[in-house]
Amino acid sequence: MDELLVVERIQKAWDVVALDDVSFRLPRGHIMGIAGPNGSGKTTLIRLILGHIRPDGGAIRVFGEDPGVCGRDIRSRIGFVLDRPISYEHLSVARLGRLVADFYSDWDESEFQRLLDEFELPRQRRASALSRGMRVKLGLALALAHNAELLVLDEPTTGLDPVFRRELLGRLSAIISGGRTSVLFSTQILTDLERVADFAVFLRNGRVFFSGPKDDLLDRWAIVRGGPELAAAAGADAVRGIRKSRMGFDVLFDDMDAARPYCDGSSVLERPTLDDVFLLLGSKESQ
Amino acid sequence: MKALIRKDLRLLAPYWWLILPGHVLFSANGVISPEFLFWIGVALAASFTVGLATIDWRFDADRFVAALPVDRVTQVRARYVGAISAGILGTVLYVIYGSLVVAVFPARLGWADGAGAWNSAEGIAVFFLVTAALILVLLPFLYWLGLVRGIWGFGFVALAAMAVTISLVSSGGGAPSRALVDALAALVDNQGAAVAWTSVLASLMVLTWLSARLSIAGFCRREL
Repeated sequence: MDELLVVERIQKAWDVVALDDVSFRLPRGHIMGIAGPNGSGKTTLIRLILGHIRPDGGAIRVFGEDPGVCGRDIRSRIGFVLDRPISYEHLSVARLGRLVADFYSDWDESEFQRLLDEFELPRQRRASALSRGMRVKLGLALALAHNAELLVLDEPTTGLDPVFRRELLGRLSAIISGGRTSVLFSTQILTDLERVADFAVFLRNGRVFFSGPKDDLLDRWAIVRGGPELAAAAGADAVRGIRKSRMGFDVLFDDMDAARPYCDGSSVLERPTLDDVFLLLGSKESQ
Repeated sequence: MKALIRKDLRLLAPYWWLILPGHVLFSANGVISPEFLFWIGVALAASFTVGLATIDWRFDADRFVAALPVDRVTQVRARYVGAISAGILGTVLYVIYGSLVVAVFPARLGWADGAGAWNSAEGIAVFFLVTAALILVLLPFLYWLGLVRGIWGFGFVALAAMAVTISLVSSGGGAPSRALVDALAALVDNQGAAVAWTSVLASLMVLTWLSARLSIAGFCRREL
């Protein structure tokens, strides 16, 4: 499989975050969501991928190259929307477009104009006068107008209303439909990830505690909710997390078949949501 | 590099109209004395030049620029080209508004004639060299330390330079700008124009190269 992004055993102490042994791979034509609470290392990871900071250990390959060495060539193939979507907010939408266009040899002005129309962005309005949602849209238009192969978005849905979030996520799905482009986005909102991501990476305190295809997780994993007797399941190989609940325990299994024997009349077996997995997996009470 | 310079021009575009009237307005104070005209001019040119040099930091856009397809060495070089160009523009403006002040108050700016005059080649060169020196010292601080700490570091150096200047003036060394112009005029007299101006230009180029190397080394090490 053609992998646009390979992150291998990355270590990085940066600010208050310390990434430790972070690894994942993003194939071409897919969406990967990186989820984690504030301070978990999402933005640090994105800075590493863009070559803004260097890893203390491990390696990152974007299009097969090290972003710390071949940053310029790599970044010409990346579209980005940073946590602050627009800089130079005193400029109008049209001027910002011209400013960014100068940096890309394959800038497609007609595509940029089409995106402005599609996103209903007023060309003469200053970026500072745009809402948060409109700024994200503008950031996306700037990121998409140069035929980027990898789109990197740092918490693009934060602060957006549900309608616009859904619209934005739909747009991300459309972007990868051609099979040429991949999307990597970070989020604190797991339903975003559940809605569009093909691959999920869960970060907590700088460590990956899940990385893999999202559908595998949702189809194969199971959660058993039951009474105190479920504590006996804690030692099972397939158990990935266990947490006390009002009834007794919630137990997360990475194999539906392995979970079935623990499901009797007093407990129920469910497919987990990403919220369930995130809460149970790697939590303090997990095994 | 072209894209970076054009970016700065686009960012400044909404403020261009302020520059000439702003200079003329402030330089009217230069009527007090030629020294005043000189140092107000340096302050205006330096603020314009420093404003341009720090534009990405002030818009909190350094990570945005770093995410564009441009390497850090090119970023630093473009910043120097822009800053030196701004210094040249500041010098041109100094000549323009100095001429305006002289035209309006012909009796006030009798800062000698000929070689030592404010608008002689030496006077204009000293003005540009002082402005350039400010930027050549400031930029390495910014690229090594970032905007806030860099400005503080530069501030300490500038204060030290001011203290030295004041002590020179108070010990009878004369006004610093006049002393610099006189020194350059003496160099031209003693060495001949070709040698003197070549030396000045070569020194400026070497200092610019050293300052840029220092900035590149700092910026390539920095994590954004």
